[in-house]
Amino acid sequence: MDPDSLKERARLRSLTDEELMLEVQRGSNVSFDILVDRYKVRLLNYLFRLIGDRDEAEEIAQEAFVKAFIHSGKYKTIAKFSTWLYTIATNLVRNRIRAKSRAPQFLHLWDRGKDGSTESKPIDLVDPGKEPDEEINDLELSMIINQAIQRIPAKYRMSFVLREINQLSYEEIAAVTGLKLGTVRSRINRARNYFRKIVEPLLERGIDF
Amino acid sequence: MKCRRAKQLVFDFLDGTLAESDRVNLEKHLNECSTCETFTSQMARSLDLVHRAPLEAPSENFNWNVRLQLARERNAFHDAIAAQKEVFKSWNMHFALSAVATFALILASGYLLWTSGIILKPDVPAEVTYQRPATTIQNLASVPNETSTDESTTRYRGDLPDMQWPVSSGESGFLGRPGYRGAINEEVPPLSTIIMGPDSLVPFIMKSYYMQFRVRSLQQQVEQLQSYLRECESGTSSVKP
Repeated sequence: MDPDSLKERARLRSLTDEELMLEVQRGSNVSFDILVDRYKVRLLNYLFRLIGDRDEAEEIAQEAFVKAFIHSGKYKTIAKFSTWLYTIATNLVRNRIRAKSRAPQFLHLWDRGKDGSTESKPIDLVDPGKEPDEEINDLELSMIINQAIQRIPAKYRMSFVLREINQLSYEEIAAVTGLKLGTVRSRINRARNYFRKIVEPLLERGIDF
Repeated sequence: MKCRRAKQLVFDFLDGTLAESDRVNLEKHLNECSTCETFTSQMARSLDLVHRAPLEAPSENFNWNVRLQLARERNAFHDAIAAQKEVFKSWNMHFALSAVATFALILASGYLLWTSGIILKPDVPAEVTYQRPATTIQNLASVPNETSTDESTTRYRGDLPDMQWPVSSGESGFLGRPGYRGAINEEVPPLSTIIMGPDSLVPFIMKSYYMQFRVRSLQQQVEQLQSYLRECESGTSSVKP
């Protein structure tokens, strides 16, 4: 790579997301690459915690970036890039859930409890098999958190993940989900309550997370 | 403070948006209420757990996959544009063809209506027939030269003697011209008659061609005769009358 393009890359890296989007609108593919680098981890983790399937999450994250690039002309700098990107990804997830709900489902029969619901039950599937005060590793922790989040009712899960995993502000979450600020607040608090009830048994056992 | 209100404040506290006065009240309540105290500690621990969720790393070829998908989308877009152009092209062709067909149909139906007398009933007495004056040498000979100054009798070389449209009988005539005696409720003639009958376009065209030919030959005859007469007058003619 010649020094000029390196310099240009360094200059682009110093720009904000919104400035980079303006560069993308002017036809700079490098700027878009930088944006992908900046957001791929955040977006992947949001989607992973939201749907619980890592491969599918990565697929949707890539699709969201593709959509963002294709529709970069529609992006207005009055909105934050991150909010815009999360909105695209959220809509993709919603579309998938809708498509899945239309398709016949068979696997759920095994998951269902007596009342037919899989949600908000105390965690019992993954037993780390550890003695109290024994440390568990990252993979186990990730799995536990994942299972717990998946048990939060879908309605509340999105706002919860955006808040607790991606640390978005309530206003940003309202913009991404299209909900009112008060609704976002109450949904997050309900989801927190669900999450607390789900992980409570593990916390009671005194496993050192 | 009620427990319900206290739980609400706990969330504000965890979000870091709790007002100072509320914080004092909450602390006071938590010291008094063990349920709320447990709730708060559990909530803090569980949220701490989720905050410590390890980040998933994207695969190494994440950016490359994005670029690949973009390239695919771009190709699909170009393909779609090309397909659209093709459709447009063939559509144009269809449009032109259908326009021609429609025009022909309108022409044919208009012609049928006209000849069958449905849309126009000419108000011409059928008895009117025209007599063609006899074309004689005398008539032709009376045609003066171009040099004549008498306006009323001036006839120019090439002018034809008075001739009328040849009408053979009361039954003939094209497009309702003299001879037509059709009625609105008249029966539509069979297709063969429409195409080849005396009222149809085909004999008309043939007739007009014939007339053209006839007129031209007459013109030539007249010219020959005039030149002959001039020669006779000047006495240069080698042919004796």
